[in-house]
Amino acid sequence: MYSYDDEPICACSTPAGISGIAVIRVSGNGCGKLADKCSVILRSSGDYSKLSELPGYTCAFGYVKDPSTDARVDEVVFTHFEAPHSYTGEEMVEISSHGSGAVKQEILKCLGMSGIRMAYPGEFSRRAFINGKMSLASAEAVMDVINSETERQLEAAGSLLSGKLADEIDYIEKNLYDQAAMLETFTEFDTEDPDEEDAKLEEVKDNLSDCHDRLTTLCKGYGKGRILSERLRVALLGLPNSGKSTLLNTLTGFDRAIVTEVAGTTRDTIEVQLNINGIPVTLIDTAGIRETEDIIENIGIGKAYEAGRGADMVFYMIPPDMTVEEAYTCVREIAEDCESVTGVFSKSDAGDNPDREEIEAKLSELGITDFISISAEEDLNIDKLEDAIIDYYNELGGGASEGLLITNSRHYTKFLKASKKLALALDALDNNLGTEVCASALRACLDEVGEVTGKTVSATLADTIFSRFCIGK
Amino acid sequence: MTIREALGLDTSFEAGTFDVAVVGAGHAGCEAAHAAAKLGLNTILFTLSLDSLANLPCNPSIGGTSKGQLVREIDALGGIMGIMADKCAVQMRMLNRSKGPAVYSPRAQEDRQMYSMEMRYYLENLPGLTLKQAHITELLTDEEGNAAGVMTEGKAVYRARAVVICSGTYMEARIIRGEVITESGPDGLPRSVGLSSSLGSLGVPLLRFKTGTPVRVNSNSIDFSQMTRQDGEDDIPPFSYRNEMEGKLPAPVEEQIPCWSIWTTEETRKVISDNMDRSPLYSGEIKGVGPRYCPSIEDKFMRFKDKTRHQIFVEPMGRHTNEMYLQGFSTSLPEEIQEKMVKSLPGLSDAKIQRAAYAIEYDLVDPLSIKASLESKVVPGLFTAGQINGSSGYEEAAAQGIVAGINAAMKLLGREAVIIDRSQGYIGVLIDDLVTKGTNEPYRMMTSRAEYRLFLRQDNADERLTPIGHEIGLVSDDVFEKFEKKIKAIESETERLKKTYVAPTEELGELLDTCNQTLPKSGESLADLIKRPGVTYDLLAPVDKDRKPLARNIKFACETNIKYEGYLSLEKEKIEKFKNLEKIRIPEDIDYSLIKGLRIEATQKLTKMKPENVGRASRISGVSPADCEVLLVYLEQRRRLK
Repeated sequence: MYSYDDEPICACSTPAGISGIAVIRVSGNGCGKLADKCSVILRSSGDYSKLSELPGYTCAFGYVKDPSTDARVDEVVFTHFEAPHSYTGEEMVEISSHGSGAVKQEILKCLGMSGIRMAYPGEFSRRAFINGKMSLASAEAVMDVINSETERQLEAAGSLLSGKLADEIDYIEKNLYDQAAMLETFTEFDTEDPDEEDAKLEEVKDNLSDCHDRLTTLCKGYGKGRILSERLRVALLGLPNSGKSTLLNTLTGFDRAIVTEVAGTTRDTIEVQLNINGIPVTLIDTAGIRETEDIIENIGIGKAYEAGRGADMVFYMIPPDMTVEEAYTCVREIAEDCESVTGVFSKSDAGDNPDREEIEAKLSELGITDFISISAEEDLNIDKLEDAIIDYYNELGGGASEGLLITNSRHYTKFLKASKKLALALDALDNNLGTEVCASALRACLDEVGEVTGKTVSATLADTIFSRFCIGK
Repeated sequence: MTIREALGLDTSFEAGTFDVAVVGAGHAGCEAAHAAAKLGLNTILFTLSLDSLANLPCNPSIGGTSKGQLVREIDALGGIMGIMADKCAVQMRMLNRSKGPAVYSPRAQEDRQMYSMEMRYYLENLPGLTLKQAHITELLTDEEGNAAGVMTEGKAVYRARAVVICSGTYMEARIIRGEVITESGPDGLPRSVGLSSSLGSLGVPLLRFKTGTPVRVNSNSIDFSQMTRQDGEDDIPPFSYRNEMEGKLPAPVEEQIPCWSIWTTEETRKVISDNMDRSPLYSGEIKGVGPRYCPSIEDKFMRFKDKTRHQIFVEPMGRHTNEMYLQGFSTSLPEEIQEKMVKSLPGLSDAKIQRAAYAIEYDLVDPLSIKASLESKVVPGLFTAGQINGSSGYEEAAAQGIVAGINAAMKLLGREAVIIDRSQGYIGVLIDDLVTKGTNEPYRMMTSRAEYRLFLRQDNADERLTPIGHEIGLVSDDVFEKFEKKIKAIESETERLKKTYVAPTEELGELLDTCNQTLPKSGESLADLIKRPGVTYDLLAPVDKDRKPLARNIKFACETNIKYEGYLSLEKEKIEKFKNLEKIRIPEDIDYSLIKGLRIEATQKLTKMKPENVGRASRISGVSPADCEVLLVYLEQRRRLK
């Protein structure tokens, strides 16, 4: 169930679907400090390095980052509002981001990881009203919105949780309730048979671990689920004329990028969408990376780095004439920010790179260990690149099957919290802290799951206990 | 009936005027009368039999899981059950020792007759309290419909400004053994006739429940060599904090009386299943709803077919009797079958049954018609407590009794009602569950009903409730001062444990080794060491040189607070959220039908239940979170219009 508190909340305020830009709103006193965990300020009037330090009504340019990996999510403009001078009357942050669904979801996920929860329907308006920021006349409108939006959200939630995913969550929840009921009976009544109880506690532990694994798998699958709805982003990176555009054209099957013999033709990034083995992929061709005086090309190169950092996978092109030094410096900047970089020895039709072994050794220092040799001209080993993409996708989400993907960031946050609390519950059993301590953390976990499924713990638990166990005085 | 109408009856007469009249002197009534009298109100306590005041008609024990916590809470508020239970205990144990401290629960076997006599003697000496043996048949009101007094069977009219009814299982009671039905109260005592219809005629909604009790056997006829002996413990805290603060412990184990345990046999199962057709439960004779958690033995066999045997405890009824109680063996089968059932048990083949088992049916008030203060929503000035509100158990009754007594007094003193919330005590959970969710079976307290169980411990009931008891005036300044000293001692010792670092010496390594813990690389605080699995406060004594001798309860509190810190803070977070809604009051004159945006079901439920605050509203089934949001906006709108 939900609480009528003043804890920080967030939601996307612009309509669902893809738009040019989107505005994500965060409200709640102390929300700036929390948002600091997932934001980086690049430029602001004045010399502010943190979002929470910005004076009210001022903006800053920067980016949202994933607080667990520090990976850059999207470049945005932050606006800070100090209480009570905001829409809700509380401290607020507005994030103007790019408008794609993926970006919005990802930002909300990062906010969630920073301790800001998703808002309930009408919650911003309710707070605005309670804090005296809305006139009396608007009260009824607010009340209307709350209920109609709840209905709509319930419908939406129904469709979000369907099929295999709903079955899996149902299974986890039921299993957790059974274990909770078992723990409650141990807690409530003195042992009749200690050996039997120990054996049953082991069973409880096994079941809880199983649920924990399942929840963790579901959470991991969030990345994959996101890709199904938002596409896998693969960037092609390398020096000018290293064969990026040719590869793009080969992969897509038509001349999408301009391929010429003059180095530095691709000055902007080009995005092509394709399907590889059913996986929706966005392929990004970038400007070649090198020091240059050409202003336009410089902008292109900046974008190339950015595309590299924002991508799920990077194919780093290493032509036959590239030196060890060049290979190392060019990729160093993005290697840390991108979790998967594959070294691609290109143009193998024009001969092998003489320093190949040395390059591989040097790049492995940056964590790059996958290498493929190809010739786009002769269509050699292109299928291996496709396999790399398929492998990458399959490894996401620990092999969760297609029906089991979470695509909704609110669900993701709830399941993530649930799995953390379940881990605490398991710790309590492992450390012999008492069944009631384990049960307490398990209830907290069920509270989180219940926020997705709509069940409340106390009523359900009592029924499970009574239906399953013979309870004497 | 109004006072005026009652006085107009033939042979009726004015018998006296009091502030508070308490009807029924069981565990609820005694606590209610005690609290009201202690708070300076002129109080009268009625009972059908002074010889059975504070009777223990079922299990001769007080406490147990969650119930032990209730007794300590009653004591922390200034009640009397803990003191009496300590005084009359013939055996004491701390249950759930193998579990965590949140569910450690004190439990005592009581001398049933001594308990009744001690309680009566104490109440007889209480200034401001009058005891009266009488059969109350009418609740009387004034012309406006407020409770204004009671009338006895003999038409004696007693005026009172507040009436507390604690009728237990007596109203229109029927005792059932197989095909034999007797109109009687429990334990062969007279039943109460007329009072429930008097309540019904005032518009109070009534329900009917059933419960039961097992046989009693003479110990001379028992072969204890076939049973497992269960001794008491002496090194545990008493129920009463007042006794604990004075260092009083239970009697030494040698002076305590043992209990015994056995298991039912295949023969028991056979006797029961061969005779199920004679059970009034299955023949449909019993209409009242029975408790699921305390089922009769035939219920256990019928509902849990996979269990081939059930555990039975054989417990003493007191020091001056041979009677033994067969816990877990309650039944409503005919007496003839009861004989066969008992004789099928190990050590009981020659058993002489002194009292047969029975089921009992009784009238009660639908708790949904009661406020959290335990005042009726239908008849102002009427309070109810105990089984009349749908609960079961002595401790549950006493817990409501003290709250009803306090609030009857608060009302007359023009003070605000005292409401203990779900985060403050099992008392709060109990009352909140009853008045917001209602119940369709006798409600028994269970620790799983409490959301904040790690906080609601038997060792910290005083921390939670003694300041409230003192504020009300039930806890004396003297006791409160001692309590404050204890709290300060816990705080400063916890602080010291956090600040004192221990070097990783060989000595520490050896200590840690005993609980499979490795020596830290650098110094570690005592608190961090205590957090490790298996490490206790006492274990660290050799490496904690500055330690001063402290009372056991203080050491225990420090250890618990430190060890469970992480888990406690999870609950603390939940409590804070919970309190936010609890603070927002709903005015009594609210008209839910005027609130746009509320769903129809919510409007109906809220109108019927009249919750006192938004928190309670949110717990009513059929009221959704969105409805509460709407309600919040409406309340704010209303506030601003004023």
